Amino acid sequence: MSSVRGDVRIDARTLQEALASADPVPETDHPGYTIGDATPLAAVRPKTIDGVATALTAATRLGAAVVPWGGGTRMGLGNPPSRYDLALDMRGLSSVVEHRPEDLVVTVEAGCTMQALQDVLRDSGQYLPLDPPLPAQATVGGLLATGISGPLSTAVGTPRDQVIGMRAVLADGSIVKNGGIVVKNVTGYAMDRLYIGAMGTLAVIAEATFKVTPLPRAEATVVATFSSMNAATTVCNVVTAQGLPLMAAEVLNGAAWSQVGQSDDGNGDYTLLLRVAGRPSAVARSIDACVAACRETGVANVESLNDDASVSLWKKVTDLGWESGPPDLALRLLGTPAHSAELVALAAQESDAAVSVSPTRGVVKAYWNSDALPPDVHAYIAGLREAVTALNGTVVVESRSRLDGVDAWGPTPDSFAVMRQLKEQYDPHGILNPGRYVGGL
Amino acid sequence: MESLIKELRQALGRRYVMERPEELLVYEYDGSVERGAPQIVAVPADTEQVSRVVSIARKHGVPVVPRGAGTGLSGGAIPAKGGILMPLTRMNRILEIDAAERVAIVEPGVVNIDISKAAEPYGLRYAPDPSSQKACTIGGNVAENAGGPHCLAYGVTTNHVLGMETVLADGSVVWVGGRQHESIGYDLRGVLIGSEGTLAVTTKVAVRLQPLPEMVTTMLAIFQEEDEAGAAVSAIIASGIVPAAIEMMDKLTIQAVEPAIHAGYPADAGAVLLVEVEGLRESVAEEAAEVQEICRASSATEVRVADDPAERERLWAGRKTALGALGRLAPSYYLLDGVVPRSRVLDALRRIREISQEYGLPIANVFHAGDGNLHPCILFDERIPDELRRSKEAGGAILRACLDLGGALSGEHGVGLEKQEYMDLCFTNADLDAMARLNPGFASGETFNPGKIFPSGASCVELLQHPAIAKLGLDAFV
Repeated sequence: MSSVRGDVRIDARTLQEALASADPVPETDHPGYTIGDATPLAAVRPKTIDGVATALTAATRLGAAVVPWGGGTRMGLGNPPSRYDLALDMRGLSSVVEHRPEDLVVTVEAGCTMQALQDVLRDSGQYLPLDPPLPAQATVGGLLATGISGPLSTAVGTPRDQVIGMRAVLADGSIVKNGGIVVKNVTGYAMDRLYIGAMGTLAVIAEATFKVTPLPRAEATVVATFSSMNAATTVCNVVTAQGLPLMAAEVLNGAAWSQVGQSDDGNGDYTLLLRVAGRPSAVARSIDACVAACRETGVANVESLNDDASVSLWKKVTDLGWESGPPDLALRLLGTPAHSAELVALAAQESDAAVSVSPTRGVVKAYWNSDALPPDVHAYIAGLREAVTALNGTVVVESRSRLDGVDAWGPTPDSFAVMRQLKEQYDPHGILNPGRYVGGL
Repeated sequence: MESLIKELRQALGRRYVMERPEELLVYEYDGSVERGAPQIVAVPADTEQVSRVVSIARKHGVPVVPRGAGTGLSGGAIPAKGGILMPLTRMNRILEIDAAERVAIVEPGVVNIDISKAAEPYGLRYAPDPSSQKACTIGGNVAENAGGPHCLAYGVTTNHVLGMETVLADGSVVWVGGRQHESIGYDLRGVLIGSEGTLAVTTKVAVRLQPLPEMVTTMLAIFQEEDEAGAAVSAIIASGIVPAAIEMMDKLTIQAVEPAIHAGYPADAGAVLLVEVEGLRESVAEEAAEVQEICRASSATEVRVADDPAERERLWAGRKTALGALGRLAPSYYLLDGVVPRSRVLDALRRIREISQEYGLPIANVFHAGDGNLHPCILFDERIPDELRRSKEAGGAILRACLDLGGALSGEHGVGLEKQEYMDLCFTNADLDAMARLNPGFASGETFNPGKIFPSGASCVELLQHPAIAKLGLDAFV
């Protein structure tokens, strides 16, 4: 077997031989690394950062295209790689390197799952406020490479905001670090920012150091269902302005609310979830304030879930759309908070999408299963993109079962020329996840 | 040179381009002890003028050094290689405050505290609060990824800036990030923040605003021994409380502060802690009670508590005037910015004391204890030339000690000119090479603030205590 790139022919045997010392994965397991209909010529699962460097050095020498893998939950994000020779499975680097509870920091290897990391932190009464879907599968490295935020970003921002140090491997195999284990640091450029969210197209993230947070002593979620999206966002704004200790705020449409198993009669309704956390006294006060804000709009049905019930509801909300593998279509709409309601209306028009929105951040997620897909998906996305772009927003295709020819990212940003120059600097031979990211980077 | 000045004057107007030595003099220093003169000072009024200055500079092959209020401690605003110094202080308009979205769009010359003042009527504030917030500009904050006492709970500049309008080296104007909380493409915003003005010029900033806390309680605890104060800090963190700020002053600082402001610190006090908690009434009351209990259990001889703004200001007074008061102890001082993991603060203080004895120079410490960000202040007399050299060496020894303890060279002021020669102590050539590739990535060449951050081999700027800084007092800077 071989793959052809321009005039370079990469021979599977040559590649596999070059990778012999980088913990190769047996050929029988290669189908596990299939993307679309592309299976790699070779796969490695190094156990050390040096092994990652060895693999990338070999790939650069041979001109082999590398696709880094974490838990595989987000392989549908972005465009399919334009070339694919080597699967670089990072799950061999799976340890929590150092947790310093007294410093509220933790250093962890990229292949560690989010669940395993949270388990270690929980033993010291701490957690990392990042909440990707399927945490038992999703790895730290995958989360950082995609840079995707979950509901907890309401309070603490995106994965970028939690990272204080990083070790990564560049395409040429050099191992580089920046930052450290201190929470304030302006010593050299913040290279981690560049690698986070870059979909592995600039460097392979091998290890990260995060700020962590004490677990709240109590938490609760106020649940209220409104007949309009505007009413739900209004309440959300009222509550946010009061400075309550809000961990997360999401609004789910009827389809989404029934998908998290809460009701099946709510079509047309919008359910607002307000998650508050802190000391029991502050949580109690916050619940009262949230309930009062809901009641003021005339909503009759308001309930609150405490502690365990709240935690398990949010597990379902975080997994929404991904419960049984990647959804047939998942879109993410990025806009401003003020456009939240409009974005939701656009995402759900003429279709039965399950929609969840973070109204304080203007981030909308919409999911479709095969039976609910819009009749003409291409036309649907094109139309949606036009409308969302008019609001200065962006539509990202996060997952798709079959959508050949649709660009996952849409129009490139104004600063794209710089991005392309950066790609040339960090990956001059274009071996890292080629074609996967914005504008074919 | 003449045609360069002529072109700049055509672009900005005659009075906003300065070249006479007496005009340039005031621009040759910042909050650091470094000094270096520009050939020209050009003060643009808007983004278009910034773009024109950059294009003209590029054409003539001279560098541009952007400057805010000049409060940085690392020499970031010092022209290391001459050229055009470009203060952005005329661009000081708050363009928009969107209370519903909790976003403000401001020009780079807006003073940090003015954003919070403008947001206050809406019940909002801009969280990062460098101690120089009454003087420092948001553009400078972005360049240095500035922190401040309250970054313990809320994070630093990068966590609060959504996007910037920037001028690149070819004069083009692009937004990186924006009003949206999330956008696609590489995080150029994230790498430009803290890049010390070396890659692009910031011409507008979109900042996140947050609701004002319902209640704020400030506590001042006095300890006989530094170790006791350190133990209190650890115990507070271990209890799961994340105060908005934990600040500490050491014995030498206290001895300088007390005669200056008569705060009532006992003459033999070993350390003073300032702890601030904020949020909902309920949690603030509980946390404040717990913090007091912890301080007493750690042998605090006295704990003062204040809830109302005037009283709280009084408790902060000692901290805020500390560096000015240190001026009473010596004619010159060299203020450092280093950082260690918070659990190693006491070890760092011990090392600093040893270094103080080794070099025969008193060193005072007033710093952000909660996040391990130290500000050792080396007291010396510049009239004794040997003291100048020893101060610089002592500073180097302190930075090495920070690195040995697992820390970093700079917590909030950047590398600039001051620390570039120490960069290879904490980074490999590969690390530095990866950072250096940003420059061709942004195609910035030698256009912006050249000669900073990376080891140069030869530093052309001397360590000097500028008389004007001695007059102003360093409180304006930390």
